[in-house]
Amino acid sequence: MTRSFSSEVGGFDTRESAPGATLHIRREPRRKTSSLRVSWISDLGDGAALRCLAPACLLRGSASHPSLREISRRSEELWGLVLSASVDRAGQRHIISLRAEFPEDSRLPGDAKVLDDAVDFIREVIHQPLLSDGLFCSQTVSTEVAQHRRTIEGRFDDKRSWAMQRCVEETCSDEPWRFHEYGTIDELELATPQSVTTAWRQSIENNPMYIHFSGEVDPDEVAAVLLPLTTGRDRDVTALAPRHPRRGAGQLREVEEQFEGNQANLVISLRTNTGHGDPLHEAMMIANGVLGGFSHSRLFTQVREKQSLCYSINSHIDGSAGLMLVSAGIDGDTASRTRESIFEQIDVVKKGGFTDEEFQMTIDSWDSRLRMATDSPAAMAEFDLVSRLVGRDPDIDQLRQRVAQVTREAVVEAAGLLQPDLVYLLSPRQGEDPDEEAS
Amino acid sequence: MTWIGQEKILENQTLGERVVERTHASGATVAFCRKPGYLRRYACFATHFGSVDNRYRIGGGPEQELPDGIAHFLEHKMFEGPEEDAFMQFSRLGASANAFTSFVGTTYLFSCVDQFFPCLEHLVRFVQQPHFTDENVEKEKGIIGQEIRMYADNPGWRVYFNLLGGLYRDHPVAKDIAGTEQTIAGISPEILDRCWSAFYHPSNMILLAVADEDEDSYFEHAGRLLAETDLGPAPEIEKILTPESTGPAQAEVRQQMQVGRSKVLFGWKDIHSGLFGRELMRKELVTELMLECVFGQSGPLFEQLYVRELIDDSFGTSYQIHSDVGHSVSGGDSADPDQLISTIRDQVGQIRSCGIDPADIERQRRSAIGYLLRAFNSLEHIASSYCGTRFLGADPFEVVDLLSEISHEEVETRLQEHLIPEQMSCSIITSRS
Repeated sequence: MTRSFSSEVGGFDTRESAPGATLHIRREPRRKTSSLRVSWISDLGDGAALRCLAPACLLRGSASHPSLREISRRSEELWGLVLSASVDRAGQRHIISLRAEFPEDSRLPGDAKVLDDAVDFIREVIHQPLLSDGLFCSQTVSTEVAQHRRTIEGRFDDKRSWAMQRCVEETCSDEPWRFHEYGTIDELELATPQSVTTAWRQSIENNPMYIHFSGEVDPDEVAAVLLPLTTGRDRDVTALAPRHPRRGAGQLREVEEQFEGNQANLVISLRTNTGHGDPLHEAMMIANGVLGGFSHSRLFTQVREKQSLCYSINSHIDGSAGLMLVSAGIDGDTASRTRESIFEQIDVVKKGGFTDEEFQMTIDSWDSRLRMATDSPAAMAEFDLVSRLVGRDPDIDQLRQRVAQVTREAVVEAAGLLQPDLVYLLSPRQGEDPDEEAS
Repeated sequence: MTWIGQEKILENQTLGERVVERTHASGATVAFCRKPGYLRRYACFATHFGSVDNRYRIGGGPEQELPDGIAHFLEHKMFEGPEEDAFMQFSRLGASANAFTSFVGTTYLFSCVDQFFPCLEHLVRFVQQPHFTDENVEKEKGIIGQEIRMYADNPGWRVYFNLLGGLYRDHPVAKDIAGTEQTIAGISPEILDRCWSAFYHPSNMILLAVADEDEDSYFEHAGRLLAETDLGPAPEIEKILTPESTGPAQAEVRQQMQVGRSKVLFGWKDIHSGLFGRELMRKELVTELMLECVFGQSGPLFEQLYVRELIDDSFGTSYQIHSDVGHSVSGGDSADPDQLISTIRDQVGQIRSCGIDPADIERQRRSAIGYLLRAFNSLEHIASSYCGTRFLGADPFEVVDLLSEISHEEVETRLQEHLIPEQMSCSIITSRS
């Protein structure tokens, strides 16, 4: 099949709008809503919990909408504008974002318009929060500290994600990728109106800032509307730490932890010894796809379907940390068999024992996945932002082209770099009935 | 003759969407929604057979009872083929496929960028060619058993089904969609065959595409594909509803698990008969507007509960309607579930005395238009909204007209008849430690 890599849908038009702040605007005529993401970047680790509190406090009230209820009412008046805070990570970077979505002016009934008012409302939320003597109110900060503490505690309730994070923490115990984006409960002890206000000011004035907008408008016109979002930027832009080097594996280690439950979660970490920008990175993406990235992958067809060893299984790679994680939801008593079977499949990929069809299906599936992403403004903003943070070319068509050029031989070469580092098992505690009857 | 009767156009100017619907000679409803410019193409083949359909008779024959979890089991098994599972061919075509079972239906779907028609062909064929053997059915019990145990470890899932168990005494909506390891143990190829023959007849199914494809080509392909397999005349299926009495089965259901955060949901149920199509949709919409006015972030409760740390931003509210019953569900994580429930009982009583401000309803009406515009960006939302409303006998786009018709009095009446504090049920999950 001949494949075209030209942009079927336009990418972002990028322009610098203030020191350390860039606007990325994409004309999107197909959707009924505009999408806006404002992100501030720092390094993971110290101060993460305080940075998480800042956007939470912003959403509690602004100068002219001085309560959560008033903020919500204003959002409803603006045709159900959705405004939320999110906290993410990309490699060793910490991303704090406000995300908004609101209807296109052209889709509203009659002469109604919302774009200018929506952006102005978001500007006020960011730059004119409800302050008392120049600081976030102590009641607001103390509520958000309590809420964030429970968010951190609640991470355990998603066992699969918990197991994967624990595996990364154990694998990379002194590397920056080990930090969770929510920060730690210990850090929350340091939260005061002063420290959270400082974290907010540091973010909006000094930290690198990215604004992504998709909508059915002229990029120059909307750039002018968005510009006030970057007011107050300081010339002194926070410098991020240099990229941390990727590591190889030491001796294979094992960690087992227990909880009260029914099913176990097995996570195996492997060092990929390659990453974004390396010639073999795309080949590693395909190696991972052949192994466990899709429903045709070997982990799914062999370990789940053929051997019925698990209900869920997949693998993914992190091109910044140079890690592959294989994750499986299993019965506790099948852990050793599942582990053995996973290593067998890794071996098959390393030895090139996969079929031409598996290889081609993986190339095609990756291409479909990347093209599908162009339908989603949120996915495009994520791809663009993460690319800029981890040193990947943000042109999605270039990535498609590099993926299409991967050869079988390169996949075997990339898989040959995989080194198992740690086997993590979160297993049900023996001898207890986890299902205490509901009453 | 490929098509029966006139084609029907469902459309709405505000949403800017249009669905063309035809009835195939096999009885299948075939529908198409064009999404210009979208690279992703989406199609689904859905049967009106979900987890609540546990009793039926055909052509006035004897009543047949089905084990809990059968619709979900059937969904898993349909992917099995004599040579390979259905996923493989989708992968060859560069597509991704999936399926899900809800209370009211089972949906098989794919999304792709290229090769839409070969994918459509594969979708229709694999759903119409079951392959059940003793061996593959037994193997599936192991996999589904693991799925059931995995959901048992999921506190969010448990708190939801515990609430349904608290709301309903007899209705199958309270049963877990996957059943239990005990109920699926007796499933055999014969039972699966019987179910498939009854509920996967095209007359009980919808084939829908949401894609930037040519409409005529779509109907030409769909018509030909559905004509390939002659499954005979449509069986006269009578689904037997299980009567449900008013009032909750239990005021409170509690469970202890190892959780990081306590979880709480509370709700009320409705029993209705004689409502169909548009009236069901109207009831759903009026209830959702009312719930949003009472429990939404701009309402009188949210901020005070949030500041008291009784709720967090996971708190939400929704209404789920079926042909014979419906229920509201509100809640999320809480630091003090007991205090939250006691406050809700008290405050709901006060809100009922004061009533709802008409300005709140106007704001919610405007916000709902924004929500719909957002939702109709999504191919999946269009598909699930279309299939869900068609299964209820309604038109998915009527929601916009209904929104403008709903009066303050209707919402107020709904507040008084639905949120009766003494008829509330709640579900709480707390940590053992």
